[in-house]
Formats: sequence, structure tokens, C-alpha cells
Amino acid sequence: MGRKNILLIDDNPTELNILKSLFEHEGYETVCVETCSEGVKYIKSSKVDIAVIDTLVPDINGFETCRMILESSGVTPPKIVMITSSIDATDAVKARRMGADDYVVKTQDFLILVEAVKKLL
Amino acid sequence: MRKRSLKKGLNIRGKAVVVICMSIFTVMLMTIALTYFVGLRMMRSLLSEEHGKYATLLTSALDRIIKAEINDLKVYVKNPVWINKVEEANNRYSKMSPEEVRTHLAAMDKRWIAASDDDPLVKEYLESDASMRMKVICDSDPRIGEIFITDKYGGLVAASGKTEDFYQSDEAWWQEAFDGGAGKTVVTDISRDESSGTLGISLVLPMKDSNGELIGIAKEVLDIKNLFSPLETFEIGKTGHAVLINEQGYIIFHKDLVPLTVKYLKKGDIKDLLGKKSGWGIVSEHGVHKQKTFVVFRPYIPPFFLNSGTKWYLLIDQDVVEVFAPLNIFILPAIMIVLIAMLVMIPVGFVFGNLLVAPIKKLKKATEKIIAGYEDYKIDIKTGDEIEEFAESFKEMLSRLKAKQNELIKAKDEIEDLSKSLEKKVEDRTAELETQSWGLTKANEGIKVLYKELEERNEQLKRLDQLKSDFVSTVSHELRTPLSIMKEGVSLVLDKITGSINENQEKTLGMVQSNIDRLATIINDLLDISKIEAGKMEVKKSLTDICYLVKDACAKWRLQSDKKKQELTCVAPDGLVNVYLDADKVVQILNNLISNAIKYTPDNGKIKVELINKKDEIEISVSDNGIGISREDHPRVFSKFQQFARPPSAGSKGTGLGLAIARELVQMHQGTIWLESEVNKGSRFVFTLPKMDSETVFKEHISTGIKEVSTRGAPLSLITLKVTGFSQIQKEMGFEKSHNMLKEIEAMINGSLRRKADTVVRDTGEIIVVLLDTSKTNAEVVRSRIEKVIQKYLIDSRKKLPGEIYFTMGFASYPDEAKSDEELLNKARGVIRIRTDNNE
Repeated sequence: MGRKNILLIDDNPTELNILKSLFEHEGYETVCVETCSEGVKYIKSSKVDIAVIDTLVPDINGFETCRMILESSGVTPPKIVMITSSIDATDAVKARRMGADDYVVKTQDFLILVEAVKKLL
Repeated sequence: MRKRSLKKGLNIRGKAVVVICMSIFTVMLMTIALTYFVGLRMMRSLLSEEHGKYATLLTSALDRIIKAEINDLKVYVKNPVWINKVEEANNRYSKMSPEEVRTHLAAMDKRWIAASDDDPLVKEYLESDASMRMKVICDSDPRIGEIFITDKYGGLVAASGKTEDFYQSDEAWWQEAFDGGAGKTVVTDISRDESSGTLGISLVLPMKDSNGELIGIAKEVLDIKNLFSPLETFEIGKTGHAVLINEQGYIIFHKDLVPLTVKYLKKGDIKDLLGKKSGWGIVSEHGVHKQKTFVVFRPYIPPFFLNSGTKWYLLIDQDVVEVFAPLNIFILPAIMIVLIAMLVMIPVGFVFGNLLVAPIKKLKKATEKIIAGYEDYKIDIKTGDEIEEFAESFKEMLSRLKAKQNELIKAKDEIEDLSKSLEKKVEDRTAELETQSWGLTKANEGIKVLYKELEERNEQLKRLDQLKSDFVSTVSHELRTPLSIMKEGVSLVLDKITGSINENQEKTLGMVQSNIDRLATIINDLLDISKIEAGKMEVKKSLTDICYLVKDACAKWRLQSDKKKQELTCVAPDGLVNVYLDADKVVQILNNLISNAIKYTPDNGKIKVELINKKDEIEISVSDNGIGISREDHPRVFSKFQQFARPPSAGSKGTGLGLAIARELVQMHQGTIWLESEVNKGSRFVFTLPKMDSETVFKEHISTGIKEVSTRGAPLSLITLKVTGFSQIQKEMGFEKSHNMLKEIEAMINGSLRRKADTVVRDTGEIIVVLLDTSKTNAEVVRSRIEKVIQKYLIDSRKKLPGEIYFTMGFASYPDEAKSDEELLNKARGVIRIRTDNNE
């Protein structure tokens, strides 16, 4: 039973750093990428237990990314957590439709996200 | 399939049978009855007629017989032998006297009666020619029982046998026939003839000679037995025979009965019968006969009948049974026929019933089959009657039901489909709702967190704000103190109180002084704006003469404008213009505007301050012909710390807060402030102050007070004072004086108060006093104190006042008596009437 692998997709490097350190503190292997295409490529090649995707990443929007990941991940798809700065419920609905497992609004309290990830693993 | 058991009743077949039989029975019965009774009637009349005919025939026969015998006798009596004999006898009498004759005849009679047949006398008479002749006649004709002749005196002349008497003229028949010598034919009624020993009737004929003179009487006795022989032989059927009766009812002739022995019927019955006009009747028993008899009767009077008053009746009677036998014979067979017919009809009825029932059974079978599920079972009924029609309707109904059923099945299928699709829709919708719900939950969670963070931030900001305000006010205060000391110090020196100073020192200190002033202004402005922003700036409105304010402001600034050789004009209406406003604040506004005008107008410029008293508001404008402000900058004019261009002359720069403060102050009065200006065309700053009606101002004061005390949870009391008939007083004293009086009263009130309170004066002669933190009981104390003070004032000033002044006072407290400004006001007004006059 090895360490769990987390893939972070977020275009804000500061956020990535904070989250990376938080997750690694929890004992998870964390990989950060800044674009969705990199993320999708990574998943195809390596095992990922959970992917945390920012909805507003510029190149491909987060929802699309989610769908693509799930499609291409074969037998055991990773769990997906979407993070967003939007409080619009329709985005949450969209995330669910795309197959996301959870949806977290970005606040100053990053621990909420960490808890959500821990719950899924 | 269980058949519903029907109640025990007659099925259709049975009913048909019953109906048919009953119809036949009824019809036949009626026919029979009818026939019988009609037949009976007919028979009766027919029979009565027929029998009547027989009776008539018989009576005619009898008639003929009697007449024949009479005729015979008529011939006999013409017999010369007889005639001679009679004449002979008569001659014997010719010599005798009537008495002798009588005696002779009597003797003869006596002798005759006593004599036997062998007596020679008798023989003499009976063996004469005439008698012998008579005997022959008698023997030859069975009908004749006896014949004899008598002479004209009634003595026997000749006879066929020994007569009973010799002398006959005492007999009724002899006398009747003698007819006083005329001679008449007579037939007697039935009687027993002694001599012949027979029952018979007698024919009595007169014997006449050739001259037609009566010489004797001949009598012939007819034996009724033989006489009525036609009757004897007459018979109808087995029981029909002829009977001859007399009027009393005695049977004269009946073939089985001895005549005159039996009555045919009882007396009454005879009368009844013979009374029947129809000529027939039915008697229950008669004479010997015990059977019911049908009797037809016809009256008969024999010719030359002696008892012409009486009649005989010829009856034809026959047993009723026999008479109506044909009819009766008819009955039994008829009944038999009915029964047979009925018996025959039972099977017929059955058949008929079957015929009726068959189609119904068919229908029943078909229905059962259809119920059992053979939906297409064909109904085939062709009876050509209502049942067929019914069958047709039934088929129609079935096909419609089938169609309906199909419709329903189709509908059901459709509904099922719909239901399925609805289910799917519901499923989808549910899934969708779940998703939505999930989405909402997630978003909500995020919102909650953000909200909390926001609250925290807000708290921080509030604290910061508070900090800032505190900082500003503290600093300002702290700054003020040294500043005023500095100012004081400099003034002292400039005023040469500390000693004399030289020109240079004066100049320098003057500069210091003006800069100190400038600093003070800046600090005041800062303080003001911070107070305003903290919401701590209060506006206390009272009735003020705005005209005076404006004029006064102008006057104060004239000094400055004169320095710059500027023309400062003040345009205002004459007289008082009382408006509810906060005088200090309005002065501040005016000061700001006028100082700006002075600052931004070059030397020799023109500045005009104008007050216009409009209907609902006061308009004050400050116009100058200075440098003006460009259009683009207009929006920023009233903003904080904004300054546009340097003022033309070196002068104080100002903080840039003045107009912002002025705007706030104007807005606190619910007024508006604006700018009309263009570059190098001067500027015109205008502000309006609405004329509030006193009531609104009153309420404003009260509600401000309520707001304040409610934060502390303290009570508030309101005291009102109204001068009655103030308008009249106003007229008499004049506007200004009356208003001054009010102001004086207000001052008195204020002076009497231990604590600072809010007083407001109204131009209608009303004053209100708002006492914060004062309860009802305390308010009463205050009120009475005020009352005394005013009374004293009025007494003291009565010389100035026109006549008597009355006023009313009232009070109310919050929250006990009222909870709003309006309520409070209403409650407090006019509670106590106080009278004061100069004679108090």
C-alpha cells in the first residue's frame, strides 16, 4: 500500500506551492502542473489517485479536462476534485455532470480542500 | 360459471301454454255459455211456437171432431123416425094440462129410475125403432156414449140405453138447449154421465119439425176418452204429451190419468202458468209428474160451449230434460271438446313457447359464450319480430362495447407508455435534482466559508475605521490645544500686550498668525469631515431668520472682499424669513462658499450673494466672475481633497474639504447644492434649503431624541406649550414682536431647566420641550416649574402684551404613554388648560 498520488492542476504557482506543501505534509505524493494538457498527458502515463483541478485554468477549461481524464483513464479512473473561485451553483452542477467527485470553493482556508481530498482517498 | 338461480316461476313456455289454454278455455267457455243460453232462449221460443202449433192443431182437431159429431147429430135429428117418435110423444101431451104433464113426467121419472133394464116400460122405450137406431149409432161410433131424445117437455122419447132419468127438462143443458122454445145447440162441459157411466161432454141439439118448430131435444154424450183420442195418441219424444185442463186446473184429459181427478197444478201455480202471456212456462211438478216440465198451453173453448165463461186449456208438456236435451247433449261434448282442445293446446303451447323462447335462448347462449370469452360468437336470430329487433340492437351494443373496449385498451396502452416515459422523466429529473442539490450544497459550503471570512474582514475594517475616527478626532483635539495656545500667544504679542514690537516682528508674527489660522481651519475641516463620516454630526433645526444670517455673513466677509477690492453684494428680501434650520451649519456653508468666491475671483471682481424666498424652499446663491471651473471638473468639485487650479492670488490653499463638508451639511438639511460654471466665466454655487413644516421639524426633534434614549434604554418626555389665539396676537403685536415674545418664553423655559434639553419654537405659538432621560413623574415636576416661570413672565411683561394671554400645556412620556414621535406629540398636546390673566 504505497503513498497516494495527487495531481494538482492550477495556473497560480503560489497556490500550487501552498497546496503542494500541505499535501506533502499529509503524506501524499504531489505532482503539480500548470496547464490542463500537461495534466492529461501525465495521467495517461502515470498512476494518479486523485486529481485536483482548478476550473479556470486557461488552456482547456477545468470541466473539459475532468471529462477527458475520466474518458482516458481506463479501468480505475482517478478521483477528481474541482476547485474554483466561483460560488455559482451551476458550476458545481456542471462539475458533477462531468463526473467530478467533489467541488470546493477557494477560500483563505486551504485546509478545507485538504480535508476534501483526504475524504476521497 | 355459476348460474344465478332464478326464482321459481313459470318459464316462457309455461306462460305461453297457460296463456293459450286460458284463452281457449275462456273463449270456448264463453262461446259455450253464450250458445247455451242463446240456444236455450231460442229453443224455448221455437219450442213454444212448435208446441203451440201442436196445441192449436189438436184443439182444431178436437173442434173438428166435436163439430163433426154435432153435424152427425144434426143429420140424425132430421131422421123422420125420430121426428115421428117425438111428435108422437108430444101429441100425448097435447091433451094434458101443464100440471098433468108435470105430474105425468114426475111419475114417469120416478118409475123410470126405479125400473130395471128388463122393465117392460124400459124395454118399450129402448126397443123402439128410434132407440134401436140410436143404439146402432152408439155402437158404431166409439166416441158416442149415449144418445137420447126428449120431447118438448123434457120427457124421454128414445135412447140408446137406459138413461138415468126420464125427465130431463130440469137439467141445465135441456133448458139451455130449449132456450125458451127457440132451440139452441149446446155443448156441455165434462161431467159424469150416470146413465152411460162415462165421463163425457154432451152435444145437445134442438129437434125441429118441418116448420122449424121445436119439438124436442136430442142429446148425445161423447165419451171423452174416445173424443180426445187425438190427444191420447199425441206424443212428442218420450215425455211430451197433450193434456187438457179446465180453468180451475183439473185435468180433463190426460192419457194416464183419470179425468177430473187430479189437478194439473196447485191453484196458485195454475194461475201463474196460465197468466203467462208467452203461452209457455216451466213447472217443477204437476199432477203425477215429478219432473220439471216445459208446458205450452193454448186456450180452447169447444163450440156451443155451455159454460161460455169458462175455457179449457190444451197443454203440450214435455220434460224439460227431454225438451232441452239437444242443448244439453251439446254441453257435455262441448266441455269435452274444450278439455281436449286444451289438452291439444298444451303441446301446441309448448311448441309455441319454444318458438318464442328459442331466440331468447339463443341470445342467452350467445351472451354466456361472449362472457366466457368467445368474443366473436355470432348471434343469429331471424324471427321477424321484436326479438329479432332486440337481437339486432344487442349485436349493435356488443359491437359498440367491443369498440369501446378496444378504445380503452388503446388508451390503457397509451397511458402505460406515458407512464413509462414519465417514470423515465422522473428518474432523469430526480437524478438532475440530485446533481443540482449536490451542486448547491457544494457551492453553499464554499459560500459559508467565504462569508465567515468576509465577516472577519468586515470586523477588521470596522475596527480600522473606528481607529481612524478616533485617531482623527484625538489628533485634531490634541492639535487644537497647542494651536490655540499658539494663537493666543501670537495675538498677545501682536496686540502689544507683551510689549512693543517692531514692524518686522509685526510682519513676521502676522504671517505666523495667519498660518496658525490656516492650520486651525484645516484641523477643523478634518474634524468636521471625520465627524460627518462617523455619522456623529448632528443637525439641530430651529426657527431662524435666514435673511439675517445671510446679511450677517456678507457683512463679516466684507472685510476680506474689501481687501481685494472686490464688490460683495447681498441681495435678500426685506423682513423676516423664518426657516427651520441649523444656523451654525448654514453659516458654515455660507462661509465656505463666500470664502471660495473671494479666493477664486481676482481683484476687482464681483461677488453676489442672493437669497430667494421661494414657496417651498429657500434658495441661496453665491456667484462670482472668477476663473470658473471647467465642465469636466464639475463632478469632482464636491469631492474630498479636490482642488482645481491655484487660486489667482497667493492666498491660503485650503484643505479641499470645504465643499465636501458644505455638501454634507446641505444634504443634512434635505437640501441640494450644485454648481453652474464655465472656465473664465465665473462660478455660481447654489444651494436650497427646503422649508420644512413645523410639524415635521417637531417630529424630527422628537424622533432623534427617541433614537438616542432607546440606545440607552432610557425614557423620554415631551412637554408642549401652546399660546391660545396666537394668530390674533400676531396680528395685534406684529409678526416680529410676537415671535420675539415666543423666543423670550423659550429662553425662560431653557433657563428654568436644570439640564440641557431640546426646545423648539413654532411660529404658530407652540413650543415643545424634549427631555431626554426623563420619566413621566420627573416631567411633571419640570412642567409645573415651567408653568410657574411662564406665568411670572407674563405677569411681568403684561404691559407689553395686548390683553390677556392664555396658554395650554401638556406632556407625555416615552415609552410608557406613546411609542412614536407622532403618538407622543398627539398625546402631549392640550392636556391641561391653564389660564393666566393679568389679575392672577
